Amino acid sequence: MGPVGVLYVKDIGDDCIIETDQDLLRLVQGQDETAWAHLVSRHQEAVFRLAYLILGDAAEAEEAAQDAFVQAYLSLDRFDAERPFRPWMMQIVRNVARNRQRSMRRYAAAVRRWWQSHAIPLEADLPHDDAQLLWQAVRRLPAAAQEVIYLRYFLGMSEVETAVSLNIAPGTVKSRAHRALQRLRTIIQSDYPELVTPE
Amino acid sequence: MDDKMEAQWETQVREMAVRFTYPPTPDLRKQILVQRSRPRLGVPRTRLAWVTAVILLLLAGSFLVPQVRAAVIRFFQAGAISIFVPEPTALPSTPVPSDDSLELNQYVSEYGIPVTPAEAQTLMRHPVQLPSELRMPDRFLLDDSEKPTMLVSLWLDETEPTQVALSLYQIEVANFAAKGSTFVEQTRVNGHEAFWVAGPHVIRLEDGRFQSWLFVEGNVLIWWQGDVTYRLEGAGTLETAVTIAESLQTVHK
Repeated sequence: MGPVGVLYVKDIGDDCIIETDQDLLRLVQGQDETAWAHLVSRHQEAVFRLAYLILGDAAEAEEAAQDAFVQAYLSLDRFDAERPFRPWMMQIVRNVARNRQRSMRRYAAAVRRWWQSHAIPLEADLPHDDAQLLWQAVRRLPAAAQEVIYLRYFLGMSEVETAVSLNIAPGTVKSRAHRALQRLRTIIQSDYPELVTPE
Repeated sequence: MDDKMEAQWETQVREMAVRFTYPPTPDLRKQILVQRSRPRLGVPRTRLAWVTAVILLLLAGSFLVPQVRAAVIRFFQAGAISIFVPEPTALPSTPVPSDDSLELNQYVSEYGIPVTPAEAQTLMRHPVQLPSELRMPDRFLLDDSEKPTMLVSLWLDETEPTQVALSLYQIEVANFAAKGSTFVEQTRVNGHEAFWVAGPHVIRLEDGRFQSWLFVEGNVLIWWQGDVTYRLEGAGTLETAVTIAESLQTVHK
């Protein structure tokens, strides 16, 4: 599979230079900081959105996204610039976000046990449109099922990109998505019947 | 569900998902350039501040040790794990209550892939070590990165098999982890320095590629041999934990 890059057009006077992710990565690996800023700008929305879907909090998601880009930058010397960049970034932010989520949950549980206080709410107080209800239903799935649904359907990534992001084979993406959708349907039929389209 | 219905369901999910409303994306470029300029090694000030905040937050609400004041942060290095504690540090006169048991499925969903000892042996850099004092673990979990650096061996509660009674972490991360705790006692395992950490605390693991934060409840014994750091969680008392730790031996295939 060849590199999958988003084209970025940079105007220099009357000349237009189209820079792929791979071009920018090569510049970054050559110590060009401007190129890194371009890469961040290009991918920060997707990275932030995946963090938000996992963590459910914009401030936490912003920190996770920042950490992910810092880690990526520090690992660039080991990254093959010919590989697609976005799936690799999604892999990093997914790990960062999951780790933050583990700490948040356990800390909240410990606070509750130690001080017999009310649980700290981890999910935002959301309006109840269809997409938000869908998200609430997805968050009840196991982590691996959530991630494949976020990447494939919420963020519109291809099977191949999703496979790289999750460090699994494309065939596994297909089967995991299939199972996840089945489990999701069961949750929705039981607890969110308003989302089910009459057959 | 037949294929047509499945396809319709998938389409419906996709159509709902793309309508999801996200918060505005922050501009990360400036913050990242600032963060990136901090040195990699050592303790980044922001993380130390975060860990300190956790310690102080725990202390502020802790009715178990009303006399503790977080005046000074002391630092211990335990293998790959750095421990930050406020002064003074002393174990309370009554044992710190802790709920060491966790659901098995929490471990499985959080810590990675179930493996056999032979698979773990193939993928870890160092030999897998298990305590001869105990039966074979009921589960082995390997972190799901391309080059695993952490193996978790789990012993299930014999009366409640969905609960994990004891867990042993074999950590091959080269760089340090930071944890904040209210109580730390220095001890020995096989004559070598070790630490007994009591009460809920936070760990940060960093291997140069990723930073992982774990939150731990309960009492933990930490010791190390060369490049490998071990954590034993759930042993209850220090004496029991040391006995288990001192019985560690290499698993043969």
